[in-house]
Amino acid sequence: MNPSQRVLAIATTLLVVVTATWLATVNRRDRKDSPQAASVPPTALANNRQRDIWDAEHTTFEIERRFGPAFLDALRRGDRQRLAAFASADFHGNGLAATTSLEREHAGIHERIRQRSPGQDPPVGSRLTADAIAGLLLSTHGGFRDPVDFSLRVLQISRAPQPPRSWTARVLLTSRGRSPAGQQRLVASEHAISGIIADGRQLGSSPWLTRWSLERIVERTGPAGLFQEITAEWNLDSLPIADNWNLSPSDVLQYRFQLAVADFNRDGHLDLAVASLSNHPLLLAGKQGRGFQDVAAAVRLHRGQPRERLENLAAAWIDYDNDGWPDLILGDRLYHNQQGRRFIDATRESGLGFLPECMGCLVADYDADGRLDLYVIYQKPLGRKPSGQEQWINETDSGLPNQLWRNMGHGRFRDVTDTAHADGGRRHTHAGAWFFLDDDHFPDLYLANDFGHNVILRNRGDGSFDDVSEVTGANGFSTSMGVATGDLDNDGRTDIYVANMYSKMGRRIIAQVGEADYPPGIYRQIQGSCAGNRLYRGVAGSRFEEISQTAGVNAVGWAYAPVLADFDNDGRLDVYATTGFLSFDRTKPDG
Amino acid sequence: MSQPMDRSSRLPALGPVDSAAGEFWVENPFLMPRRGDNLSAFERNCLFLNTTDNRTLQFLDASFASTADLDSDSRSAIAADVDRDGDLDLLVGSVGGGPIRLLQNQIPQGHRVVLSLTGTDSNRSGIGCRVTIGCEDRHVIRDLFPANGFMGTGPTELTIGLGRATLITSLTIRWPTGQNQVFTDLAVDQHYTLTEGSQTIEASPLGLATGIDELKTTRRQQKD
Repeated sequence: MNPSQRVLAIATTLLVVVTATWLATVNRRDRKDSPQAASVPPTALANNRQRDIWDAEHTTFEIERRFGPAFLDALRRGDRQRLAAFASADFHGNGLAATTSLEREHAGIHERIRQRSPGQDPPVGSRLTADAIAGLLLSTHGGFRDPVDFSLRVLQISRAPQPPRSWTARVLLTSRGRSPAGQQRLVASEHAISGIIADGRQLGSSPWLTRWSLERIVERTGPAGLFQEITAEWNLDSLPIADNWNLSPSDVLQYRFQLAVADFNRDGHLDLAVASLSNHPLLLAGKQGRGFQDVAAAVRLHRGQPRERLENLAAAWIDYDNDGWPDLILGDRLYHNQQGRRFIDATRESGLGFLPECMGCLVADYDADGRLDLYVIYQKPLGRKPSGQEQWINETDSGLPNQLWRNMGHGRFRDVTDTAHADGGRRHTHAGAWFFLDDDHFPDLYLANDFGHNVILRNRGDGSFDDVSEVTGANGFSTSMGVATGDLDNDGRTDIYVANMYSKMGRRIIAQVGEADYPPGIYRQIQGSCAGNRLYRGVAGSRFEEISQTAGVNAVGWAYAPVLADFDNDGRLDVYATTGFLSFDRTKPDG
Repeated sequence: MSQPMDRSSRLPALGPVDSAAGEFWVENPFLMPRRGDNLSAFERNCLFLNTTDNRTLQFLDASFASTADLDSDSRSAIAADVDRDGDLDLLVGSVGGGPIRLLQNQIPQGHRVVLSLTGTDSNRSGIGCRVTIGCEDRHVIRDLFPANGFMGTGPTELTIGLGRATLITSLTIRWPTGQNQVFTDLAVDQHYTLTEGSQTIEASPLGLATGIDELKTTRRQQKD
């Protein structure tokens, strides 16, 4: 199996993450070979419940793809009459009669949120006509300089008891563009709507709405460009790294490279080491002034052969001999940095050994002996032929043991995973971070896992670790991809931000089922699999409270790398979060 | 919509599929990328600015104005001061839509210090240091663990924002060996190299911070 085949195997295992988000309709057949089949009740929903969910998702599609474009076109044109024409004869609407208004301003960004005050149902006398609602929508989403990006998405949907074929939904309407003064402007409004859908294909042209109620309006304006892209000016626009968007679907990969930053030659400029599966490694040296230049061949990180590939994607800097020149792990090799001039392969002497499924190397001095050690995280074994009954919710042995390598000095490392109790539970570990769980100076470990609960290992300070995952309350089952740690409120207790999956579809579906539909614990796992990124705030006693939704940092998407950094240097760590799985065609719907 | 519980099973469609409008059904999700079907496609990266006060964590979604809300299929992201002006830029790694993209920070900035920490008894890179800075109006606490995020590691220097503070009253380093070392009355907007066990300070000035007034978060709440 060559590296690209291996990575395709990673891609396919990851797709199963989707499974977890959509498990609500799972029909678990073929359980007869499973040892647990006799004791665990089946998770299958009754056929009619499955069909109900199918109908709701199909109706969502019709609303988003048939009604959405026609409605947004009328909104774009300011066509009040056409907007009102979607209302049926017995329509009634509600504006934001009794509201709470919150305004904030920071870094030149102004935000205003208006929402219905809790418990404030609109009085009957305040009902609005379709024409009045159309006017409200136009004023709410007006005030742009053309062109404007509009979108309409269904957040929740369910059948209404009466009359037949009626549905209620919560809809998110977003408009984004420039204000007349040239600022960036975004309006996101939520609406409770009802309607009778006789034929979904007619939603773009028929009067089907019976109710439209404004629930919440968020408006933001701000200066254009808190960041400015300078990729081309810094010579990063033509790197020899393959790009999925230029390839056919059969060549698409889930991961392509890892990136590690250091000033390897101590010239005051940051340099980037890139471990890539599609090409030889890169060492992009930061140049005086601006720009990067690949010096990997010049410093002997490869011999310039076209098919010189790495065995895995690991990239990490580690000054393992404390000589002040950062050494480099690249692929499955350890290179010693010869004073910034060249690198020498020191793998054999080091005793280090990596498996191909390596997802990363976390560098820290876990035993406080003054030498940097290495924690290596692993995915599930690649290329293993799946048995037909492989369970994605069953976390036992869902991955490989991680490795703890102790730096013994003299350029040698020893695998101490077993004696240190540090394998992390043989999970499918996507990312990890050293952090301080408690007040001592021995770094602890957070491990972000797919297909299983996350793991927290407390460093006992005697060379071994305790699994304290459950005690901390920060070990949610959430199909995690990444983790970042930092002190977001400067209270001396580390906070943890975990990248997971946020799925509108998953959230729509699980809103229609409940704990009673599944064996104990399963519903919470499904919830966690589509709830989005999680923020765990550190509280007393090495415990955490989960505040993702109230802090407003959960709805990111199919998220990967979280970053905690103080981008405005105001003393508070901000959040950047990457997201997006595989994109092929902007004209096609999303899966 | 519904997916098989295990990799090999398939689930047939349970109802109508409006293929004329682009609706599709895949019996097994493993087939989606091979068919070129979008899956969580063109999602935009997010930027949330921390507006916390009084210990209740709050964030302002600044993605829309950030230019950093790339819709690439992004994987890794690293905050690092690439252009050496004392604020953190972003390196974003993606598998589609441009492999490595560099985003230069243009946000109004508060005062800050950049620290390079040189261990002697501790590891020389200073990895595992905890830095506590006391200023007139606040404490700021930062730990140095460069591997943080996903598929990437950042530099071993700490860029620490200080907001409106114009003097560092105290700077305490807890070195990885557990020893504390305290520095007092340090100027802001400097790059300091601090060495374990030594009170000698190497300093080089950063540029002046701009736009501090814009970083004061203001709030107003009203009920109608």
